[in-house]
Amino acid sequence: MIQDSKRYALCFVPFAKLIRIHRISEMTNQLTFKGASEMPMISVSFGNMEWNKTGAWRAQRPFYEDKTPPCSAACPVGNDIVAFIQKITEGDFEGAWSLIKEENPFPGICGRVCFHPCESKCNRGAYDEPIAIHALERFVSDFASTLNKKIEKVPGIRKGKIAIIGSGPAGMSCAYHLAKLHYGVTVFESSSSAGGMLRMGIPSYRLPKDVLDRELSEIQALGVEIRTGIPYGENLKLDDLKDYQATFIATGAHRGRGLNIPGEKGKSGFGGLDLLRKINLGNRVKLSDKIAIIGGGNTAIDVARSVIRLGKKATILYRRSKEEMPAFEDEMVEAIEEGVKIRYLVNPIRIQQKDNMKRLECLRMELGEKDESGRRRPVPIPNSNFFIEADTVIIAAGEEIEVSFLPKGMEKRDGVVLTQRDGSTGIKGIFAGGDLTSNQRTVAHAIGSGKRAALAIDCYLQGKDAEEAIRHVLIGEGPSLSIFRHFHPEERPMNSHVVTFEELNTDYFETSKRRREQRGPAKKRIKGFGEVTSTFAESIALEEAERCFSCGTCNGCENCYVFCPDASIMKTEEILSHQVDYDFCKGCGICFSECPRGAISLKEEAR
Amino acid sequence: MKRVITGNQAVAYGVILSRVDVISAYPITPQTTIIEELSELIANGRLNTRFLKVESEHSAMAALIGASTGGVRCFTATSSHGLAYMHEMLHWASGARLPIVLVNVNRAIAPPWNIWSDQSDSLSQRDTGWIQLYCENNQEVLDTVLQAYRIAESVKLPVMVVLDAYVLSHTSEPVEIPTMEEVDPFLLPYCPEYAIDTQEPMAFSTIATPEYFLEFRYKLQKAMEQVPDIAKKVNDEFRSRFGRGYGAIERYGKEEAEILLMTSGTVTSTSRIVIHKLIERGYSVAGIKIKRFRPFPSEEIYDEIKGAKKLAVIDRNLSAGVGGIFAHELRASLYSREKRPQVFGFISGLGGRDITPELIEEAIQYTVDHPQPEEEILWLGLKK
Amino acid sequence: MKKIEIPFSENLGHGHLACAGCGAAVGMRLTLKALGEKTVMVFPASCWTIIPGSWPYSSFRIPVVHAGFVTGGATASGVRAALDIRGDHEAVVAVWAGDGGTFDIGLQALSGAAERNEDFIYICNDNEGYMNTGTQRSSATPRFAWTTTTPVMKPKEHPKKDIMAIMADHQIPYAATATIAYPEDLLRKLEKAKRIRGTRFIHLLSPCPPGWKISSELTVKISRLAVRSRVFPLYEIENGISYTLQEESHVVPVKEYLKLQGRFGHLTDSEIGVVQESVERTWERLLRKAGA
Repeated sequence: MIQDSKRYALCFVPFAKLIRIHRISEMTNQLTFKGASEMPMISVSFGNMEWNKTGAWRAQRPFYEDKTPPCSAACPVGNDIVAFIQKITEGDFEGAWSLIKEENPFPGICGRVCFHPCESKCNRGAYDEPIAIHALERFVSDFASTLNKKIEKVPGIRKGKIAIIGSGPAGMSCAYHLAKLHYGVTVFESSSSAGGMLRMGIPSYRLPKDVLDRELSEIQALGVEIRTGIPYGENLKLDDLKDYQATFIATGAHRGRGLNIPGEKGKSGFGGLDLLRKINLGNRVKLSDKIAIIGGGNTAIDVARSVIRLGKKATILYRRSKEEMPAFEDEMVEAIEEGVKIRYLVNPIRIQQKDNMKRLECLRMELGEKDESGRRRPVPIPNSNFFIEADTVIIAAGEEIEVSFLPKGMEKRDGVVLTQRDGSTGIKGIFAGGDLTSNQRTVAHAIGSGKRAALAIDCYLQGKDAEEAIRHVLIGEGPSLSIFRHFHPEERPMNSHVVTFEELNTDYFETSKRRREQRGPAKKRIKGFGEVTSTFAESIALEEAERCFSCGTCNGCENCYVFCPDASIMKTEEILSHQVDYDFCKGCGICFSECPRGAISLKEEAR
Repeated sequence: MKRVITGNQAVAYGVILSRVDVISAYPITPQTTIIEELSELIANGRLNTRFLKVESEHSAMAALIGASTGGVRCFTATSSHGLAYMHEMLHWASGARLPIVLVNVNRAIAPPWNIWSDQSDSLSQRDTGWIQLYCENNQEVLDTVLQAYRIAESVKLPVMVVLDAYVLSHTSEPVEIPTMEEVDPFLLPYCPEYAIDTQEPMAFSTIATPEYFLEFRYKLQKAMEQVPDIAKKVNDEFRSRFGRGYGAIERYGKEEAEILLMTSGTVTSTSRIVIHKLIERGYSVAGIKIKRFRPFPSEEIYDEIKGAKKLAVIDRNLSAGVGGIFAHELRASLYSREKRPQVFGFISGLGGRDITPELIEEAIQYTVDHPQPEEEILWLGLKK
Repeated sequence: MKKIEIPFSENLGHGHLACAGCGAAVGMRLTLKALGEKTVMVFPASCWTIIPGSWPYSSFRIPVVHAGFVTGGATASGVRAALDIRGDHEAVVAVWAGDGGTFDIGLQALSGAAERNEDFIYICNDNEGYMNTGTQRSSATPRFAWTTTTPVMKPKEHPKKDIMAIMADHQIPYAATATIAYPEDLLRKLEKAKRIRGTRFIHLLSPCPPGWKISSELTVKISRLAVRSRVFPLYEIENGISYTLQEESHVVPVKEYLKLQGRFGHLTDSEIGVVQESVERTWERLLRKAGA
């Protein structure tokens, strides 16, 4: 009487055959039944709902749209920061380097000396701590230095010769981008070696010479000719450049600004820049023991720290308070660790010579109203005179441009040469950029202006509207731009809207501390001019890169695919395809909401 | 093998012989000994059946609907309140065209509480799309269970087999119990047209809009309309194999009779004796036993009316506001016919009151004496 | 950033009729990815009677049995019995019922099945009301919520029934809460359930945009807030006695959860306080049960 379950196998053969007759698999067509005679006896299903295009329900339409991350918007160079950090997270450090090099010839330099405004704007800063973008850029460049990477030129043929005056960051950046376009570029440099402020003004412990030389040689490898020892105005005149189709003047600002106080000029008085130049050229420098340095910018700090490394004592006198000091925060911290003394709210009004010493008469200052730089103006406290003694006084109170050699027709105002946004001057075919044309005297701004000029020169020579072209590739509001997007408009498109912290969905992130580059102990550092910080180890770089929110740029996290109620985010087994299946998408907006980085936009569905 | 067994035991044997796969039931007097018997048989390993001891009758039918959709042979038994509780699921079983067999022991529905024989429970479910087969004795009970599976699986409709409380369920009678070897060729394995299959996924009992619902119900009705022919074929085969059988109805008594007495269930046994006696006394009477209530055997009954002028129906049930249900359905079936004898609707035996030979004789006598019934409902044995 | 890993196969297609942003659709899609093709799912009456489409179509790519409202636990018991008899021990039998079909009208059948330790995975898709019939209250509706039968002038008085406690007391081998904002957690629990025999119960919280009066894009966010505010803690109960409570690192006050939902728009500060307090009491109780 025992039941036999094997009986059932026989039964279902006819059943299965019946199903195949009726079923239309993977169908998108609607089934029709004439009537009862064609219908099954029960309401059992024969087809699926793929014919029902629920896309017709939509009132709003989601779409993938990369937007501008605040870091890129803040970067004066125009780096595609999120993109290169994504490459790092993929372990593709070489790819990260290639990506940076599309916009910026100097990742090794920027990764060391840039003032990283990107980090101040990093959205992660509002969550826990900003990403160490600066350190990651350096990591990528240092990694690439271990390989022997060549930079590819942009395909296409350009003919023409461009002359560039000045081999500093602006000039070399312009040279780099033009050379990639196959132009013939000759750079005329007044001093004996190339690099401009990068070589002359920045000490080796911040920017080692071998890093600078390597990145310059990569530009030369593109066919750029650098002719040193040719100062413009003296050995080179405008007429000499007749054969060049355009000229870019980026002579920088190298003249130390004076204080206009009695006793300023005299022997054993150095301009800060002069001292740095001597040290950077490897010349011997004789210094006495106690050095007073007047100024508050990076040059003053660089001078002070160099003095320390030469075994002397350094005291910086700055007329405003710590908060207003323009030098980089990190620099100041390191300087103080190394024994530099900084005295705030002190303004020398006279320098007297007393035996072998200098005697500075100073006034104490207090802070008054804000001036045009937004900082509170220093106001002398009457009758607060006091004296400071030093062996040498070094003035590092800013730089000024030299204009005597400039061609007629180039206007100067407020200490800079005026140009259009694209770097064009009043003279046809003559462009200018860098510290010469801007009071934002940073390496990054200079590199950015060189790139902008290169684009403008290319447009000028192609008979295209440079201003129009620049407008199309501005990052965020500008002024920086993406030259990659100019030449590859279809790739990596980016809406100029800058992603705010509120537009992110931080539910997907755990708090995590920012990784820091290791700094050697001060005692060891001051023994020479070796690099102060060491680059990230690979594992640390990966950890830090993982912290990047990737604002505005899809990084394939697939949240959209996971949460779509209608399976309308298309994906193959391997990768997300950045396509919404508009046949079925109901426009609920969950993908938009759950995208951690605001890379999906919603717009009203047009009917 | 002939054994003396109760009606409930006969049910249990019928279930075993039918090789039922899944049983799901909830106890209610007087069905309980069916499931007790089955529990023992399963526990003794004589039946490799799953018995889901659910927590209510509604769940019992729901579980069977699940199992039957899974493509296996199913069984349940209940009575009275249990059947009423299952009502929603009875509709579901027929709409889903599942060949489930349910044995209902006819019992009155409360209040007042009453555990004795009354047909109101099964007849209250007459609109649910179930075939209903009534039994007169324990042999018929066993045989009907076997036939029920054949019929159900042919037309794809559920079947309710009905027997009287106590009179059959708990009364022992001699029953010829066939062997498994004899039953197997009669009742082949269940081969469903549609069943759950992970290789060929389908959705069962989806929603159907007004565009299609009518056609599904049409098909259900058409299936019901096939029952008379199929039931006859099944019975003919049964008879040829086992030497006994049961028509949708059975006429006994005088060949040409003026008065026909219609009964169902065990009342029929008593009626046979009374009719026989009355014929000897010269009455022109015959009896019609109704086995199949649903679908109502209109054709079969009409063929047997012949020259009869009056039909007396004894209903052991009440549809309040209408009267006896057999009488009601009979009248409806005669309406469009040429010959329309008078129908005398007697109600008796509710809540287990004995329908004695005297009462039956009283009914026939009344019918003889009156050209037409004086009341819509004629109460037999009522204590006024 | 970590990527949420889920299986690739789709067993719920598109073209189905769920509202835009339906939490249950997200949950169903994820559930079917975890349970796989060899699953038979029983659907007592709920939104899912309608969502897959009407005859002759069905969105599902697995066999599905629609059943009466009352009958989730019972129908699934029958399906399991049939499959076992046919020798198919691989197919998973699952029930997908709403909160109505679990907490209220379906409670008896579920309790009966759980007591018998029937072998299926029962998933209660809890959207806290009878949403298919137009947002009437159920015993799963939280206290103070608006529904069409508990209007703003007299919102729901009684607290939400604790279905997990009820299921635990049946001493079934596995019960767990889950919600759509934590897909890997849901998948893990379903995978775990698949490996156990007997009655397994998943209480899945699924926000319903029309019923909770939320914008359709917030469905997932709100389910995350439900966990973070401890209104809907994630935990597992094994054999009715062993509790594993999942701590959430970003705890927020209940106000953050309530304020986004129109159905709680009328709540006063003191009522929000009552909710906060009851949430904390429940959390303490769970901590004790988890042996903390």
